[in-house]
Parts: sequence; structure tokens; C-alpha cells
Amino acid sequence: MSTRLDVQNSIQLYLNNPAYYTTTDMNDSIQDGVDEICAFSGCIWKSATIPFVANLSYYDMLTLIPDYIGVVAIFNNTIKRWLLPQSRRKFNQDRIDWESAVGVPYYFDAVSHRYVVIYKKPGAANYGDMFVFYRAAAPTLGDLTNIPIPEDHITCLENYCITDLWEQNQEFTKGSDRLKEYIEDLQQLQVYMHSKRIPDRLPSLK
Amino acid sequence: MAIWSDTFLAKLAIDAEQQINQDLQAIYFRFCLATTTGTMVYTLPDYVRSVLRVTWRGRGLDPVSWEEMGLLTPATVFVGPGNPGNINTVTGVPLYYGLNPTNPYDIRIFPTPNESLSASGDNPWGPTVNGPACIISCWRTADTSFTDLTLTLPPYIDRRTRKAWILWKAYSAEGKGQNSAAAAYYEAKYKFLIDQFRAINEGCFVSKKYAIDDGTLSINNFRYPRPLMPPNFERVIF
Repeated sequence: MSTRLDVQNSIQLYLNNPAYYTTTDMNDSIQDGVDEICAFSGCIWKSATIPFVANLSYYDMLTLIPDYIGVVAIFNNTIKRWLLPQSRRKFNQDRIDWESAVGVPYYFDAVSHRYVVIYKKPGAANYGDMFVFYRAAAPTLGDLTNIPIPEDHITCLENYCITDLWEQNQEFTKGSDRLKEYIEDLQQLQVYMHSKRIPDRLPSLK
Repeated sequence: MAIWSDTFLAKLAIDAEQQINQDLQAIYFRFCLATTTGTMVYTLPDYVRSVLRVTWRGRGLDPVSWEEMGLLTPATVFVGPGNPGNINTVTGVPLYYGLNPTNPYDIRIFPTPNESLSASGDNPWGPTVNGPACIISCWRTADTSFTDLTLTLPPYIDRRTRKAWILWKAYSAEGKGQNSAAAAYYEAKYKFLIDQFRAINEGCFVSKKYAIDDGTLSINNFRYPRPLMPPNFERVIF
């Protein structure tokens, strides 16, 4: 995997002037690029253990898990079952007072980038934990930190940084061209992360 | 000497957050509405952008349009607070709500509440069974003071998106900083960032599975959770 230093060297080679942009400029751009690419492509997957809270329906995931971006799945470790993703409209069809209904959590729904709601909710304290599997935000990089982007898509990051650096220098025509390349690269990475991880298993119409 | 003043940029920063709110509904919020016995219309806080759900003591109220509300209760009318022309004859446990044509933020609850509930009657994020509260779920505007982080965009998107919008507008503004090419560049960048965040916020990571049945009729009907259509494309299957 490439480190921040590798990407920095690569950009300096491309720009053909290692002294023009400071290391701080470079590092800021690389950090911004990694933040954005990881958020938009969902290329970091993580899990966290979150305790169920008595009578709480809506969980503020972004507060509970600071690098949370979006939920992938939730496992109820008390009953050893996966929570099923479902819509709030379905919950409402089940019970018009679903938000206050107390019982075994079997379902969840992602409300926004911040909140996840469970149905039903435990009514007593110390019910147990849930394992939350989620797409995570990028870590803060150091010089030797491995960049968590697939190696064959690292040009996406380089294109972001070059765009950003040209933008800072008010080279908007060059920046626009490079921005298009960055967007194309990002789309390829999104497709790869979402649907090309296991081409052996074909999607079906079921 | 700076091209733009701090005051101008600070104003654009606030405008940017509000513009992002217009371009996508991102900040989900719930609060308890204080109600008074015999009062049928309430004015919501002006941070409310759109009402998603209203519950009375935990039970969801059915949303109706103003016309439907008129058909439900043809002999009642609300002209304005304290207006002698107000006619309010149906009082009981509320079942319906609708926005009233007296004010964009006026909400009418029908039947007219038969009890007073406070703004702190229950926990809106974890309501109790039959809890004494009228809870409203809504999309809301951002906190323009940027003090409450739960009421702003998430950190992985906020700064860059606002920056793109601010620079788009700053380069468009009259004065020595005006630069059409730069404005066009930042406009394109802003739109790209908004589209990407919309994909995150409107459910690309929600592992919903749609099927003709409820997913339990056949053993091979299972697949691992994966991103599908966002919830605004939801299909209700009875």
C-alpha cells in the first residue's frame, strides 16, 4: 500500500518542482483527498460494539462512533441474530406507536447520515450490545501511514491532490480538466467497492 | 490587502450552510411540541423545514392536506390566534394533522387536543409508552452558529462543500475579485460534492432489500446486505 510520503513524492515528480508547494500544502491536500475519497467510495469497513440503551429508539451513530459514515449491518449480540434493515413506514404499519414499543430489537432503519433507529427497543437497562458494521471515515495520516485506498485506484487520490493544488494557485483551467479525471476515477472506485468485489456471484432478479 | 473582507466571507459561510440545506435534507431532528387544551393550531419553530411525522402520546397522527382537513371537520375554522371568528367544536385525542393556511409554520391538530402537553414531556429520541408528549420529527435547518455539531453537516463533507459554495459566490460577486472562470469551477465542484453527499445521506448505505415476498418464502432468497435504491424510492408491499 502507498504511504503519504509515496503519494507526496509522486505528486512532486508530476509537478516537476519539489520546492514550489510546501510539505504542509501537500499533506493537507492528501488528507483532504483521503477524507473525501473514503467517504464517497465507502472503502473502509469497520465494526464497533454499542450497548443498547433502555428505551432509546434513535441512536446518534456519529456521536457514538466518531468515524461513522453509514451503516452496513447490525448484529444483536444478546439474541445472536442480525437486525433486519426495514423502513419506518413498515414499522408504522406494524404499530402506530412503534417508536415507543418495547421489545426485542429485530429491525433497524438508517434515518440520516447521523441517526439509526431500532425497532423494537429494550425497556430495561443492561440488555446487551449490538455490533455495528459500518463504512468509516479516513484516519488522520502520518508520513508512513498506509493510505486505505486500493492500490490500483491511488491515481484517484493523486488527481484530487493535483486539482486541489492547482486550485490553490488559481490555475482553474488546468484544475477543471484534472477535476474531471478525478471524478471519473472516483466513479470507478465506487463501482469497484460496491459491485465488483465478488464477480463470481452474479446478481439475480429475485 | 485581502480581496474579500472577513465580514463578507462570514456571511457567505452562513449562506452556504443554508443553501446546502435547501439542496438536500440532511439534518434530522425531533422535538416535543407544547400543546394547550382547546388550542387547535400551533406555530412550529422556524428551523423546521419539513414535517416527517407527528405523534401524540406515542401514536402516529395521519397527515392530511388542508382541504382534507376541511372535509373532516367542515364546521370548524381557525382564522388567527384569538380571532372571534374561530370555531372549534371537536375536542378529543388528536388523530390527524395538517399545515394550516394562516402561516407556513402553522400546524393544525385534529381533533383539538384535550390535554396540555409540555415541551419537555418525554424524550423525543426514546419516547416512553403513552408518554405525555406531542413529538414532531422533521428535517431542519443547520445551526448557523456552528456550536451544536449535531445540527451541522458531518465533518467529512462540511468544510469542503461550504468552501466550494463560498468561493463560487465570492468569485461571482462584483468587485476586484470577480472571476467567471473560477466561479464556474467552484460551482461545478459544489454540485459534485452535493451529489455525492446526497448519495450518502439518502440511503446508499442502507442495506434494504426489496422483494415480492417478505424475504422468508424461499431459502435461496437471501443475499448479503448491499446498497440499493434510497428510501425516497421506497416501494410499499402489502
